[in-house]
Amino acid sequence: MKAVALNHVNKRFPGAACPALDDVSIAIEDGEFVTILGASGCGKTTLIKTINRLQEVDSGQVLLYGKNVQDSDPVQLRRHIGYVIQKAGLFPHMTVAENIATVPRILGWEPDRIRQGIRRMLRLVALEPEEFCQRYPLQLSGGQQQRVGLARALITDPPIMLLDEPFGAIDAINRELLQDELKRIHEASRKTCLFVTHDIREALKLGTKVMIMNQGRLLQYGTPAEILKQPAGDFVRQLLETLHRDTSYLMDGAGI
Amino acid sequence: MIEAYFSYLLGHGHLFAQATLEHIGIVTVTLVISILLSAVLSWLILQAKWLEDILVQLFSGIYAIPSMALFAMLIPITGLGNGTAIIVLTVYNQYLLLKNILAGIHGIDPAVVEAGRGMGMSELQILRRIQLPLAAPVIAAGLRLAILSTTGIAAIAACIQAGGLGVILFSGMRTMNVYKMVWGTIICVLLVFLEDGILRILQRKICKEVH
Repeated sequence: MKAVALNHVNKRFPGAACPALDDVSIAIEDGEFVTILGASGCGKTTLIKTINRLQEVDSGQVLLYGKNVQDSDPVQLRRHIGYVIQKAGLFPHMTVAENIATVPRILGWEPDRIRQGIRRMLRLVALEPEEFCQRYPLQLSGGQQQRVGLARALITDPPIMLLDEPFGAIDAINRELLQDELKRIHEASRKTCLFVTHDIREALKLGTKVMIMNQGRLLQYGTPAEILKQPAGDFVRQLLETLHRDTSYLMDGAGI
Repeated sequence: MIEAYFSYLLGHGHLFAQATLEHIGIVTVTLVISILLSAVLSWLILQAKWLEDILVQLFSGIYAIPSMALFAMLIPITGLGNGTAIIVLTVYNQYLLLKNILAGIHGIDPAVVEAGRGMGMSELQILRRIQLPLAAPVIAAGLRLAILSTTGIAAIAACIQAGGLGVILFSGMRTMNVYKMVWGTIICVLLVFLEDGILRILQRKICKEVH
């Protein structure tokens, strides 16, 4: 069974010139790490928000493990889908531990189970529990905040993770570290991940599959190798050219 | 000289005590109704955003009307007495309270609310665990303003026979009785300090509970 399936999904925001999602159909296998690549405003974020119903579709269906999301209560549905956003969105008035405990508390876990979960999650994202549990988000660096954001989304062990440009605002070195860790977490857990990015390197590095979108349309879906070998159409080809152009331009300039 | 002031206060203890109690009564009832009403109105505004401009404009317009004029307008409908005073004071407070509640909630980083909703918090949980605690300092500032303004304007309500410390102030002015004017003013100011202190304690307790 497919973990996530979209069937002819359409979505247009009132007053927008072009649709955010234009007849998008896709089937994602369980355990896949799908990176969604495209320019800003091309519908990437809207696509993942239709999965946890932060956005409702105008027409078409979104299925999770064969079940239409429309048949689930949105609040209940979201408690079983991990969600990480760009600025982490940590609650500034709560400590790191309280932030991570949010959903387990709502689900009514035993305090002991929550405490152990917090420690396990912090170690998973390479933060020392003793040092970080009682800190507040403002006392953390951007990268550390995003690690806590990941821990908060992972603690309930959701089968599906939605990540909306989680590393977009993080410096290059820390972004690399976080990418490697996320990759490691994915390889260990085999969760189905949908990861939005506008960074082509990130998309090709992290994705077991890459999805390329433009103006609400799905242009290509395939493994990074397939995309590099057989880009479908001019837009994808142009996108790939930027990858070469940047480095070759610099290399030429440096005489390499 | 100062002894004369104190002997006047002690000699007319019952008069000052009664006026003070009446005043506290008006202020307390007004604040309770004001807070409940502003909570309901803000909740409505959060559900239907188009209400915000209409309501805030309406209450800011009313806030600009001098209290005497507003009392006079209401007398034909609700008559003399503290009922009319409480209505006017409550309506005035809506501007101060609504403005601050909304400013507090709008001031929260949208990413924080979005994260809460995306994690599966219900709208009520978002309000109780995220929006209210984060907006609390701004809301408390609005409450302090409301307390100050209610205690002050309630004194003017004595002119429509609402009772309270205004009775002493007005009678002091009519008879040129300095003792009454001075003590009426001092008690008014002390009342504001007292109310402010109570609010501070409450705020600390509520903040602890939410966390």
